[in-house]
Amino acid sequence: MKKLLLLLLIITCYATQAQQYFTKNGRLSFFSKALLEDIRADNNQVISVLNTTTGELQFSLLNNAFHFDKALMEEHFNDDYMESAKYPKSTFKGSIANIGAIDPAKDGKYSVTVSGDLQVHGVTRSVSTPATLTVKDGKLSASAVFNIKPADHNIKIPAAVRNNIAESLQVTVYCSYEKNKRV
Amino acid sequence: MQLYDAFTRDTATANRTYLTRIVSVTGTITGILENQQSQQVVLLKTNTDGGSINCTFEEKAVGLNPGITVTVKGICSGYISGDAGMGLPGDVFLTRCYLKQKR
Repeated sequence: MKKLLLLLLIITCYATQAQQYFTKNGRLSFFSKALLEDIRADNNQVISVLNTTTGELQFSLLNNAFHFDKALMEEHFNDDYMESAKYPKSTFKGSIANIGAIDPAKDGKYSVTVSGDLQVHGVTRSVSTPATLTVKDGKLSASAVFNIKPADHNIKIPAAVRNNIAESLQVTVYCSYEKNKRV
Repeated sequence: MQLYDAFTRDTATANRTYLTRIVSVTGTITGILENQQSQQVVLLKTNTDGGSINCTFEEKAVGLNPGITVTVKGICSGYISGDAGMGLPGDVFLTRCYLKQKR
């Protein structure tokens, strides 16, 4: 009986271990379309971990790593709006509801729903968004598009630049995962 | 790797010292990737297995291979701890990097 339990434990551990994925160079971009200008910023240093057994999903990025077309935009973003020295990171901690439908060993495109807590500028809010998981040639990737309002995260946009920065920003996430071989 | 150790030992102090500053790091290449924007990403070895100085290059540097030692200059955007449950160590990130020296 003890041996059987041990065997079961080993099998369970193995099964869980095999289902962890990560990236340290995922991409997150945001786009602001306002009356006077369009602003786009890219961050290609997003850490994300995904457990395809439990559906747990996490993202973490450094606000300083966003790259804008103009250096001045980058400066305003970090110093005035995000206060990156005070709040260096933005994070998401959540899960994929219908993870059971995904077989990482089989090529396919899966529509999923991701929900969890998004922390930006020190303010945490519950979010939920449709997302796509893709398995192609054994490689797992994930993408999602959702909107975020700076005001929801207590980011104050001065009236003087209200025509330059949209009230709602479109966020695009794309991560190409590799299997975690470390556990 | 001094920079990596500074961040893992005391992130708050390292943030004050290095965040948004231009730093120069010398290390052994453990991996070369390409990100979603087709930029070259060079990983430099640290004392922590699986933890890297994660350098995104502004322009592709030629002749780089895992195992060679390089000096890279870039802007330090900080440190993200990995995931303890997954046994995944974090990385220190540099952006807009360029190759200063190749040995």
